[in-house]
Amino acid sequence: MVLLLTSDNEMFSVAEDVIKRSAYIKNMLEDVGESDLPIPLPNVESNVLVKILEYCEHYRGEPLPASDVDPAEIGDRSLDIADWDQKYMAVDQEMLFEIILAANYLDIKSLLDVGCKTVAKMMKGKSSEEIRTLFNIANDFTPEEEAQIRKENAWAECR
Amino acid sequence: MASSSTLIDLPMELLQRVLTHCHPRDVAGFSQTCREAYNLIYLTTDQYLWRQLYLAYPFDHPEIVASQRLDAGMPSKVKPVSGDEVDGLNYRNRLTDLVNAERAASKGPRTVEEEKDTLLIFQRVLTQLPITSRTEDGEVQPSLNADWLERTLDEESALLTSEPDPSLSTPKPEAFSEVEGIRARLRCCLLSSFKQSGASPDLALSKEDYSFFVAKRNRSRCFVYDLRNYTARTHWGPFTPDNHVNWVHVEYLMNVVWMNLCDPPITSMPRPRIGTEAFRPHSSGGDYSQEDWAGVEGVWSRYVCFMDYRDLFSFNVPYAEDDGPLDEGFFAESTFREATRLLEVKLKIVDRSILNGIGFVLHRKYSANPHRPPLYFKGTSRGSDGAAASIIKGCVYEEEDGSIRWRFVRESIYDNSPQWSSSGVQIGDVGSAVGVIGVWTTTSHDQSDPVGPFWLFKNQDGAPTQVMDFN
Repeated sequence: MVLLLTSDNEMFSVAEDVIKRSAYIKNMLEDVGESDLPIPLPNVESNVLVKILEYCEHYRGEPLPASDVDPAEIGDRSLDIADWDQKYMAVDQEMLFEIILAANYLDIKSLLDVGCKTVAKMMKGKSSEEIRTLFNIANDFTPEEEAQIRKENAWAECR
Repeated sequence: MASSSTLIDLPMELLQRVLTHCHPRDVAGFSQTCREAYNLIYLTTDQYLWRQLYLAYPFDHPEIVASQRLDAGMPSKVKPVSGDEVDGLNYRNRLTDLVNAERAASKGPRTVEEEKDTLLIFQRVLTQLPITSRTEDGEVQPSLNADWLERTLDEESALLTSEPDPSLSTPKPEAFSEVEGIRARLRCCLLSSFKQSGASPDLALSKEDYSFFVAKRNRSRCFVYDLRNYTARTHWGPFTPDNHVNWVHVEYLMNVVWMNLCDPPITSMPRPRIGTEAFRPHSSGGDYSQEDWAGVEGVWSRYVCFMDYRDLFSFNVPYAEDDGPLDEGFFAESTFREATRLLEVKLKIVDRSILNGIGFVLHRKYSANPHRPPLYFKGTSRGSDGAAASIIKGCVYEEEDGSIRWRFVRESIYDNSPQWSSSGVQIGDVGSAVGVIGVWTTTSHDQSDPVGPFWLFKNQDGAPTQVMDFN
């Protein structure tokens, strides 16, 4: 069992083969060996860690991806997401970005990938105004800048 | 921490990572939402995001393509500096050009300038395709760029449909603009709805398509059999007075031969390969080396088309008084016949001295590319008429404009004097499967000597050609 200590001081005890999906923890365990001391995770809150562990638990037993292969490096633009992953990602935006941040911090490439794809999918085919509304982004351009930037993006117009 | 969990507050590298999964159009949409998004997409100096977007589109890896082309002595617009580093390769400009070109091809260009820019972009992709590589089993690894061209170019798109003004078609081939030339060059890799090869004899053309087909062939014949297009000014071939390739002429030559193979569809006739994959360097297969950079040696098939000489003469009679276009209606007569003959050609590279004294200029100038010295060849040409094979002698060289030119003579079977001369250009890149399109005529180039189109293409795996005629 591995002990994890979240930023809000909650202690989790997790099976080693579950948490090894995190390359960060896996490397740490390999470097320092068995230890009774908890691993502090100052960037992860307990509610997020629960969610992360749900993912690791689900994929328990599945082979770990080779550590040097980064799916994003291969140039994959398909937005196919497995059914279970889609349901897993059906959370509010705040949690979605927390998962992405934690997956990045804990170095869980497959989860990071699913998170990024989920966001990309949300943006797909939307106008900039729709993207602003969806992600609550404040438009801080002056009207002149906006016109200039629209011109600069003329290559992407459909008409 | 929880309060900052919004999209725009993600660290830059994670935001970039999200964007690498997006279509470039969505990335453009996001860049217009706020300053931070704009800066991340347009003002960062590192190419990570645009490079990922480019490769994921997907396109062939330009750095790999460029270094393979350079190693083989082929012109490349990208110059590697050292290792993976490539100078002047701007992924953002490349990708935005291509996405814009895609729109212009489907919706039509917005302005005349955009039309020309778009045609130049397509031409660049077509002339910079990766060298054909095969797996150990001999399977061709398809090119992503070739596939993109195939899917994006559409013969009916406004970008490619405007045909040259017929009143200009003769007698001034130099009157074609650069834009018309590029358009014709791009259309050469489409050949419209007649792409179905061998397998199905049934072209299943609707009545409408068939009349389009007939009109296109007759328009092409009208140019191809107009003797005014074969003079010293055009170097007796599909060339301009300054010896560039006249792609409009090439397209007409190609149309005539191809459509004669399609109508009536005779499945036993070997067809040259067409389409963008067949334009790639070394796509014809076989061996390439410094000594045979053009893939000369081997067995080739050659189609020649011709009109009955009396027909050719009467078709051309009006030109004495009139310099306008000739009458397309001539080919619509039910009595009109055009013959197509298939020949087998076998070629070997020889020393230039063997070709001395043939009384035929093989080339005047050639490029200074040290990887492409002129190659001289000798071989045989055999038809189905049972007569002995005749001797072919010629040369392939790179012209100063970068095109690969083929010139050769066929000797008379009676007295071994050079009788027929042919001059053509390699369509696509060096060693392309699509082969060489050109014009045959006599060596004496007398006024009103016969002329006709030819299509020369290499046989796969050195297989022999089943020679035959059909009318």
